[in-house]
Formats: sequence, C-alpha cells, structure tokens
Amino acid sequence: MPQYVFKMKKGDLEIEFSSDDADFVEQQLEKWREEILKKKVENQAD
Amino acid sequence: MYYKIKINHNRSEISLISLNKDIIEREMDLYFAYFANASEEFISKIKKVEIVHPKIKPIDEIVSTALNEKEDISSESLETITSNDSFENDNKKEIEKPLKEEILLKAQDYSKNELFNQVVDLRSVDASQIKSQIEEIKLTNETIPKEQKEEIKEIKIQNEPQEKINQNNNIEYEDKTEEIIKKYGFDKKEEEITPQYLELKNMIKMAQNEINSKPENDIQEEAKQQINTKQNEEYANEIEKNLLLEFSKSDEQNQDIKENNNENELIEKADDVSENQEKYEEDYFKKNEANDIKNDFEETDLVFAKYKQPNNDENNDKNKEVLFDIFEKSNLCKEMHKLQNEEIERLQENIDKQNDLFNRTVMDELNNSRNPIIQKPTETELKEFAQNLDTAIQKSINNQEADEKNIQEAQYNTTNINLEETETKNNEINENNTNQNDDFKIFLAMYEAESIEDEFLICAYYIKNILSEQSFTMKSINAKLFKASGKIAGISILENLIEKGLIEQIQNSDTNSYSITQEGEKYFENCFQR
Repeated sequence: MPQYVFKMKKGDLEIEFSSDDADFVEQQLEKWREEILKKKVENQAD
Repeated sequence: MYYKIKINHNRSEISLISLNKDIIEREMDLYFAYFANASEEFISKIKKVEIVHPKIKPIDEIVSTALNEKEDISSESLETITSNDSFENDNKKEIEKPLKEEILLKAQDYSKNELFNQVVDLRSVDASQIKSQIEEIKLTNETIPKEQKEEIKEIKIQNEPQEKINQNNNIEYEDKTEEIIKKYGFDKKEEEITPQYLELKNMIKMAQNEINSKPENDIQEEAKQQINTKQNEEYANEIEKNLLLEFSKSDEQNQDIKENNNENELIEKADDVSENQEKYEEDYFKKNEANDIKNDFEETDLVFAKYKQPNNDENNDKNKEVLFDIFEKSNLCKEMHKLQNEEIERLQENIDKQNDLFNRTVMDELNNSRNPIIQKPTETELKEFAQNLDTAIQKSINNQEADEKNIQEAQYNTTNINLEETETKNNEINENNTNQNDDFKIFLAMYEAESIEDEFLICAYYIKNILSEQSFTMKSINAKLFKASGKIAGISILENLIEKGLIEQIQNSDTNSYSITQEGEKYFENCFQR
C-alpha cells in the first residue's frame, strides 16, 4: 500500500499531510497550490 | 484508507488522524488557513492537542504511551495540554493540572468497556463535561468495591425519572400476578391440585415462553399487521362488490348491443370508418403541406415587407444599406457559383473527350501490341489465297528450273557474266520473297495459334510442305514470323519444340538448320485445323 507524505515549511511553522489515498492527496495539494498562488499574486499587487 | 494532518511549531503541534475522509477534509482547510495566514499571535496560541481515531491507534497503545509520558512530562508540558483557549484563564488552572490524569482514566475506561467508537476531539471538551465524566469513571473504576458499585447502580436507577423508563418500554404492563394466582388456584397446596389446574399451568407456561422468546416490539408489530390485514380484507371485499356490480352492468349493456346490431352491419360500418379515416389522413397531410408552404411564403413576405417599408429613422436607413450590400454580395456569389459550375462542366467534357481518345488510341494500341488482333479471312480472300498459292508454287517451280538453267549456263559461261541479268533476277527473287511473306500471313490467319510456339510450328510446316524447303534456319523462320505477326522466336522456344519431338535438327548441314518432324506435322493437322 503506497503512503504519501507531504511537508511544507514556513519559517518555524511546519504542516505535514500523510495518507494512502492518492486521489484525495492529489485534490488537496491542488487546492493548496491554488491558494498559495493566489496569495502570491495578492502580495505582488500590494 | 487513513488520513493524517499535523501542524508543528517547535514542540507545539496540532495533529489529526482519522479514517473518515469527510472529517479530515473539513479540518484540513482550517489547518491550511492557519498555516497560510500564520502570524505570531496564532503561533502563540498553538497548543499540543492530539485528536486520534481509536480505530487507527489502539487505545491500549495510547494508554501505555500516556503512562510513559506521565513520568517524563514536566509540569510545564502539562500546562500545554489544553484546548484552544476555549475557556477563560481563571478556570484553566483548576482543570489543567488534573486533566492529564483524567485523560488517562478515561482512556483506561474506554479500553475496558470498549466504548471508544467516536473521535476524541479534545478541543471541544468542556470543563463541566470532563468533571461529570470523571465522576462516572471513578464510580466504575476497579478500585471501588463491588458492594459500593451495586449500591451506586441502584441509586442511579432510583434517581432516573420514570418517564425515561416508559419511553424505552413503549407499553406498560400492570402487575396482575396476584390476581392470576388467586383466580387459577396457584396458591393452593399440592394435595389440592387438580388435572385442570395442571393443564392451565402448562398453558400459562407456554404462553409465557412465547412472550419471552419474542421481543415486545415484534408482538406489537404482529398485532398491527393483524389489524392491518383485517382492514385490508374488508376494504378488498368492498372493492370486489363494487367491481361485480359494474361488471354485471356492463354485461347487460353488451347483451343489448348484440341484440340490436348484426355482425355484418358492424363490419360494414368498420370498413366505412377505415375508408373515411384514410381520406381524412390524406386530406390532413395535404393541408399540412399547404400550410407549411403558406407559412414559408408569409415569412418571406414579412421579411421583405420589413425592408420595403419606408422609414425615416437613421437606423432603418443604415440597416437598408447593409441589407442591400448583403443582397448584392449574395447575387455576386450566385453568379460566381454559376460560372464555376459552367467551368466545371467544360472541364468534365474535356476530360471525357480525352478519356475517349485515350481509350480509342493508346489502349487499342496497347491491346494490339499485347494480343494482336488477327482478322478472320473472308471467302473471297481465301479464294485469292488459293489462287496465289497455285501461282506461287508454279513460280517457285519455274524459279527453281530457271536457277538450275542459270547455274548450268554459269558453269559453261563463267567468263560471260552479265551483271544486269543478275540484278533483274535478284529483284525477281525479292519480289517472290515478299509474295511468300504475304502468303504466309494469310496461311497463319487460317489456323488458331494461341502462342508463339504454335506460330513457329505453323511456319515450319509452311516451309516444308508449301515452300517445299527441307530445312530452315532461325534467321529465315524469324524473318517470316516477324513480317507476318510482328514476333520473334527465341532459342528456348526451339528447344521446347525439340524436346517435344515436333522439330528436329539436321546434323549433316554445316549451319544449324532444322525441320519439322512427322509428329510435328500430325500435331499441326490435329490441333491447328479449324
């Protein structure tokens, strides 16, 4: 059974997500990626 | 499938493990929002909170780890095990210190009673709830003696309101045991027992067993079903009665109709109805077609009427101009289309002509070159051929005689050679040869030659029997064949014929000369005769 572990760091803060559900992991990471890109665009605009 | 998410900041962390996808999906958005909008305030609020689904992590492990941690964890770390500032600081100190022990006790209780089928979300734990749970845990703990436990249970049951009991047991049963005992004499001594009493006792036992074996809900359902079935039966009977009445009425009506009308009349009426229906259908389709055409015309009239109406508005004028442009362009397109069609037709005609020419000339030539068409000779041609043959034979005989005479004269008068005479003779010989070739062409046409081998054999027969020459060379026979049929025979053809025994090589001669055998002649006579 494959296991997927993703970890993101922001300074001292760290978020970790692990699961064996590949589809769910894919959906969630895509959602996070879009949100990060939105934030980046907003910061550049400011 | 399992899902785990964790936010970590130095030692503080929030983690969530679950088998339920919906729970984790809901929580993950929150966690990521914390992460994305992480500020110092938020980080300072993060406490060590663990949310664990017991199906993933057995509760015994949690207990054992918690017990180990109990020894290691300092007072500072104990303070961090709180919910997210869900309650005020005043209450915090009271609850935080015993919280660790309380959790352990709770976990132990869960592990023993197997009541851990829910996600333990400590963030939502309220102080009052924890207190009440601790009391319950203490009551059910093993440290309490058995007698005390039983007393507690009794007290609990007494304290429970009567309404709850009634809600759980939907039907109340009155205690009529004393009445029954007196009625049937169960209180009598054994000496006074009668057989009727025994029968009744057995019956009561059986009934009690039946009642005990079935749950109360089932009994109620059975009773309801019986009531429903009775009601349904009554309703069904009423419907049957009504239906029977209606059927009887309809039968009477049918009988009346049969008496009044004959079958023939009915058939005639049915035919009339079918004819009328067909006519009606035809008329209906015609009307529909006419209506469609009318509608089309009306639509087109309306469109034109719109553009013909004189309007002073500028917009209408502009629209008119645009429309006229469109009409002009459409007309131009139509003209272009016509011209293109005409050009296409012309080109098609030219192509057809070229194809015809090609079929007539090139293909005919090709066919002729592959399979030369040999026209059958007419009767007049055959007669001419017969006459020519006679003349040719006579000429050849005369020539031979003349040649012999010439040779004799030449032998005697070798010195007197007249070049002019030899030239004239040579010319005569050439003329004879040309005549011979024409004769062979006609001779060849008289027979059915399927291949060049056949033509070769015919030519060999012709040389031996008609030209009365005993032998021929490849050059001489090919000269005849080429002039007659446009073909040249190779050595392979000659070899094949020699193998078959139809042609033989003459060994005495200096040059390679050949002649047709008797078998070849027989073959010729049997196979090529028409």
